[in-house]
Amino acid sequence: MLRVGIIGAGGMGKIHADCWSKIKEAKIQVICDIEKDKAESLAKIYNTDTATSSSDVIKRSDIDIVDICTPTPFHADDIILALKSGKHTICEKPIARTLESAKEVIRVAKEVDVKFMTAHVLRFFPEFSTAKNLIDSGAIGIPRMARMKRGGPYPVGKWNDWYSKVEMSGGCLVDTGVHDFDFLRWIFGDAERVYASALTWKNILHKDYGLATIRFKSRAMAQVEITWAHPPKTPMKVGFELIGTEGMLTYDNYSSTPLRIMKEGETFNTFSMESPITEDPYLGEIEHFVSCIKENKEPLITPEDAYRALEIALACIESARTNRPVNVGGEI
Amino acid sequence: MKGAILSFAHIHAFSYIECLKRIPEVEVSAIADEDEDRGKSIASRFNTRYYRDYQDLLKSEDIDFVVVCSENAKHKDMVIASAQAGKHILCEKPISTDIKSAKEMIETTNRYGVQFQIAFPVRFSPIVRRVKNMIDNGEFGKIFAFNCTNHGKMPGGWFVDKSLAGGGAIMDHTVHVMDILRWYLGCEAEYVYAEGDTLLHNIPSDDVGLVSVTFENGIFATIDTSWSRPKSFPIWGDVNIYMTAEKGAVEIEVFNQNLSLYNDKTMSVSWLGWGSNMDFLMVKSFISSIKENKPVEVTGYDGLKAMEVALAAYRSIELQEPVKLPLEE
Repeated sequence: MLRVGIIGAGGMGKIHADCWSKIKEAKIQVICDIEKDKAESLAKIYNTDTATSSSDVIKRSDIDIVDICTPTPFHADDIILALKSGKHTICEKPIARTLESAKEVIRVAKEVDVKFMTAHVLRFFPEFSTAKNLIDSGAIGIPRMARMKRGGPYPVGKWNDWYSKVEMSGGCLVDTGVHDFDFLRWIFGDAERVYASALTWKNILHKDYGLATIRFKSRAMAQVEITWAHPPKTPMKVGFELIGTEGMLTYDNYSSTPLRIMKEGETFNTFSMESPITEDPYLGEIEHFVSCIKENKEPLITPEDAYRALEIALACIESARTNRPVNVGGEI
Repeated sequence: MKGAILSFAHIHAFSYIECLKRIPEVEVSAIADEDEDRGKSIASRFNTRYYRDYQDLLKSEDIDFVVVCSENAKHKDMVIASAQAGKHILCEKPISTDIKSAKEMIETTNRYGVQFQIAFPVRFSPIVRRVKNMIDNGEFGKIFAFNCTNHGKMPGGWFVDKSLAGGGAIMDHTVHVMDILRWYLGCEAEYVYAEGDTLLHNIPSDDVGLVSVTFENGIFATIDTSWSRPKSFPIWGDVNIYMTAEKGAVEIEVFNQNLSLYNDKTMSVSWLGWGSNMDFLMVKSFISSIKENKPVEVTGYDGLKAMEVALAAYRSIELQEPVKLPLEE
């Protein structure tokens, strides 16, 4: 039995706890949050211990896996502590808030004999993994260009309003964009340089938006739109176009939604769009991590992958701040 | 009112002549085309006089206006000669292929007192106008950014010949969207950064472009100018403008009023438009500017400022850094 300690009982912690509860060979041992009542209300559902300090969780001898679901700036220290304590570690994206701390994570991960993965869950979303498989099978010829869009309303009402603090979250291009940057690297390989414009540094309360252009070493190029500027309570919007020498793959979550439910009292703006699917991407991600532990495999997302996605994201906000293209791909 | 088409090198000429024919007081009485086979067959199809040399056509006193649809690099000579002959001019976009000739065209048409309109039909789209009115009414509050595309299929022919087109996809597809953004914002671009390359087709010009524009008021935009629609794409391309503002977001997909045709005869799917004919609305506006002697809705200066961004994009690709506007000649 793999015994799990979850650190952070916010939105992602809840999703991960639900996934762990569905894994036969795993058991959630403890749920930790600096806000005691949050830890307790989630612990009640899964009948686990609670803690308010991450190091208390990590030090426990009855824990095999640490799952870190805290805000970004707390990732690196807990990953490093967990790895050094001999725990298998899965951490929400991005791997760290700075490249220096991400480098330190990579250094430690190389020294220890446990599994570590950053949870770039997009790779487990069927619309994205199917696209990757199709591209690998040559469906669009050589992939050369991509357009990505992702976003919705501003993530308000979170702990300490941490998303609105650029020094913590990095803004939308870092927190949300890192998903697409990892996916683009999965398709195109390493990036060469980045240019971006964004609201991130303009201090507009609860609005962020960014447009990024990424050039890859393969000469491929991509355009990424990330928004946290849609009106509250509007649905998330996700889409992509992947263009190759012999075709194009497109996806748009608004137009490919297979289920629209209009109940009395709802209007065009409030009816719900759903896309039910039996394979939960978050569960798929956790199952993958468990299988890596059991079968002693390298996780799909390496520490270097997570570093490179963060590097692109940070280059984006640096470019947006300076109005200059920023080179990426430096030595780790 | 009598008009003429100068060259059918640009395929839009066919649409413009059809649109002109729908206006009762207008007659297209002559065409000029260097390509004699093409010119003669078009002249007989539309029942007009044919001239091989447009200079000869311009001597005809019965012609009030011309529509210039030659290769981009030939716009300048045709527009200047037409102005000197006293003809009003509707000129296909981009206005020309360099700043100096565009300025000369504007100056000459002014000097000879003829109307000079650039063919930016998207300005006349009721969809695009609806949003223009909402912006002017302040319905979105402060505008933050635009994410735009003007995609197409790879056109081939002279479009990929830099000496005739002045560039490739970036030259072809920056200007429509740029014109709309300038019109929406009432503000000029200040910085342009671009990535462009030949990535999809075996052609001598660029076929993909991502043009980033920062306006004088800090609003930023990206225009994807790529000829990235596959041959199998169900429509020629798109003009999409996604706006983000203080009080909401707007998604404009100008060519989305379509029927889908699933055709067993060709084993293909096509999207066939049923929306307003923007070309018709544009030529109608041009004709009424002539008739009522009022300013054209899209000026030569508008054409110059839109083209300037495309030229700046090419310079930015060379320098790998943002380029500040206005450009020197």
